[in-house]
Amino acid sequence: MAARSLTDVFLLMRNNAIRSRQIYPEEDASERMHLVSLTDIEEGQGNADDRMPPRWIDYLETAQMILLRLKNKISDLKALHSRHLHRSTFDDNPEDEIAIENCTQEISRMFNEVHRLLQIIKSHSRDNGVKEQRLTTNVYRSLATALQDLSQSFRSKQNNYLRQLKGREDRSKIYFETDLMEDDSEDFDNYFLHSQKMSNQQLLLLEEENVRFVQEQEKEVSAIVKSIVDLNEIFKDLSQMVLEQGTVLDRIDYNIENTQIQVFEGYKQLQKADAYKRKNRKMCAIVTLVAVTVLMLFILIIFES
Amino acid sequence: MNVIGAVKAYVEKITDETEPGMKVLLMDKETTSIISMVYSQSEIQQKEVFLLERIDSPNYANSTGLRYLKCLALLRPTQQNVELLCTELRNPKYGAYYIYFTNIIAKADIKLLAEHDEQEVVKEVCEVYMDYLAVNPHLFSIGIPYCLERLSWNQNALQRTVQGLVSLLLSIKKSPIIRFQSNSKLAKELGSRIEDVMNKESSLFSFGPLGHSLLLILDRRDDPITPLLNQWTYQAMVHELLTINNNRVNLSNIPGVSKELLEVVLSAEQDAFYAKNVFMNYGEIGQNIKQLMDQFQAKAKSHQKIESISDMKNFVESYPQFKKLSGNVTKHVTIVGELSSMVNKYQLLDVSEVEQEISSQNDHSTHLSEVKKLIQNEKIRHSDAVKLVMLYALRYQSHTSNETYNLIELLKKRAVPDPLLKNIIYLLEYAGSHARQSNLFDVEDAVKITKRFFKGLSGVDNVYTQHKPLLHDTLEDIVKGRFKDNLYPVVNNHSSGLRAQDVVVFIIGGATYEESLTVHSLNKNYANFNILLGGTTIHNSKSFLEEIENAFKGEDMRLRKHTRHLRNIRFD
Repeated sequence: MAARSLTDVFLLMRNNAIRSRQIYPEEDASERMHLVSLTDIEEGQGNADDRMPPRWIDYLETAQMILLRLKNKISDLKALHSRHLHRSTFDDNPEDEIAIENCTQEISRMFNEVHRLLQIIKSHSRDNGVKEQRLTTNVYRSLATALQDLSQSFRSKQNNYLRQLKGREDRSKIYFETDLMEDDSEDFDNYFLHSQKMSNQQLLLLEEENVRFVQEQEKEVSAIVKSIVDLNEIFKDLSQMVLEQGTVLDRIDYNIENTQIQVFEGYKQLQKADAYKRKNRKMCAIVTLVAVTVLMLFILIIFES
Repeated sequence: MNVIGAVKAYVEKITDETEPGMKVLLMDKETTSIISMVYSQSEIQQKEVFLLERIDSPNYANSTGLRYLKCLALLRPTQQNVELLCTELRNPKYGAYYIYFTNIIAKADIKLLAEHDEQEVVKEVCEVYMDYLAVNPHLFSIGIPYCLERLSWNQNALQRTVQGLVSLLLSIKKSPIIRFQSNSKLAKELGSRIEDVMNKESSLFSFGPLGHSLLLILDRRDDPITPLLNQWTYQAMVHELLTINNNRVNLSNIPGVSKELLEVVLSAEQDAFYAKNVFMNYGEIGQNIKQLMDQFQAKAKSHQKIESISDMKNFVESYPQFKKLSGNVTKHVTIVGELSSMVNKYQLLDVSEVEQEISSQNDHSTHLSEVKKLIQNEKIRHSDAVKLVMLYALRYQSHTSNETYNLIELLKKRAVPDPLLKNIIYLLEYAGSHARQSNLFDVEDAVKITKRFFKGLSGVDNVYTQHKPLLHDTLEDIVKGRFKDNLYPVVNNHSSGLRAQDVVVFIIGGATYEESLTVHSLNKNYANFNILLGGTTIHNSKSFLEEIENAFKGEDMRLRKHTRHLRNIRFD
């Protein structure tokens, strides 16, 4: 992949050109030059809109920033997940879970934020000229595609994590149940003896702990399900984008040809509209009638007086 | 040596080098095609290129300016483009300009641009060498449908071809020794023009010692058979029967085709099924399509029973992929369906069998009677009948009891239109035995006779793919080091040097997808050889005959030299 940069040559030549323009300024220009260029002012005012970036450009930048952070966050989440799943100790340390939950919530929040920004950008897509409309639509589409990819990866990670969590629980259930069985068979009497010794309060405490544990688990699962539900809404808008990838609609040359055809069609429509406007008979009739009425009024006034 | 990879790398370089911010890509007609071959719109949008414009479109000049955008101008260094860019720079529509030329540009043009850049908006000027269409990783085309004019180079086409090949060599970083087909004026001219450019721009071409790579320039006239045959591998077959144009296939003349399939894209980059089946033959594609359908049906079935929340969740998650797959399945099923209906309707299997036999065996009387039988068959197309006669005429041109004259009479009885009949004469004048240096139908060669004998003993494994293009033998000679210096001399009589590992073959007058297959399988069989194939265009039989007809435009066909005996076709 060879390439040759000609920037230096170009800059040198441009500097030379500027210098030679300064040495030999155009003659007639020096005498008739305006102190302030008139056209510039007019154009400057006329093009004020052109020079200003569209209002949504800030949103775009924010969205891009969030997307970048989102990408990092998702990989963080993945790391947290794997740490949580593969940790060697058996004690439940809630720090991990809290971290995971926070992370998930934050990701959902970011998704929603980007989605909101996207909607704003989309709402601007009917502003201004044709070209800007195209620009807005393209920006919207590309952001949506990026978002789509991320949400895809996020959702698959979530599902994966849920599945593994469930798998682990099932597995542990098998072990612990068998353990219990063995306990039952060997220390059956013992067990009863102990249990009788257990006070009611102890039992209650144990139960409370169990309930708390179950609730925690449920909260975890429901949070994840909620995040998935949230995402589905975004997802609805975006599914269309994936479909177009790989079809002729996603071809650069096809799109360019299409815009040219559209512009040409638009031009034809304009011509037609112009022709209609010129042929506006109603207006003609109204004008003549008004003129005739005024004339008659004059005649009336003159003859009466 | 991967041309698609090379062009992609250039596009990445262009989009990554500029500062972040929204960008517009300004192209001309040809660079649009070049980019479209490797990049899709959604991919380029991920690089913050949100607007695509053509500098040579008629309404570009009065479109609104958007000063907050950065402009990446990717243009060919033509006179017209430089002029357009000069007017653009005088009244810049965008905030900053990064100008990329796809080839070597003259210093005078740069100076012109520099003088017009009064507002100092240009930030960068660079040459990126991507002046060719990358079709497959090992196949490129220049995109010139007609390169000949009265049997010699059309000067514009020659210029364009030289530029295309020079940029190809630069993009894969090779400074090869150049060999050409000795009997072809065209090849010699092209070779020496490229050598001139390489000598002039020697600083660019300093990629280490000369001679490890080879540019071999061939002439289509040496092998007129390959583009005439019916093809049975997927890509080649689609091109022969439906015509692929820059990876796009127009299906609008298939009856009852749905609206979104009027035009489809066949690109191995984005379509996994296509990538897997590009070089598969017709039968295998049928099987693979069935597999794809089964896979699709299984997915569709799993989508039918949605009972629990988790089913719904799964459904929603896989729905876009499912839709995409379904689009892909419909596309390929439509194409293959159309291919198979054409094969049945025009009895292409029968036609192809005879074609293959004529091209690779030697049995005059059987072939003659088979061709006669097929000509009288009402079901086959006129064009296929004419192609059979062409093959016969080329094959048995010097046979003592040549019956081309009578076959043409038979064609006339079929009411074959006159222009098609004239094509026979054009073809014989273009690529008859007078124009070929290799023995295309070499029956005397002892090696080949034994080969054929053994082949006859073991039986042919597939009657529809017996034919091997001439290119196969040529490349095999290179790989095995048996290359003949007198048939393929080096430009300007340099010493031939070492055996080359990297070979670029270029065919003046167009390559074919069958040859692309040959190169693909050679690349696979000889791991330490790297072969690229290119052509002025990529032909199917129709475009090939059009090009030949065009090559004779303006020539007085009444004074033809080699086909005077075929008096039953008249030119007035």
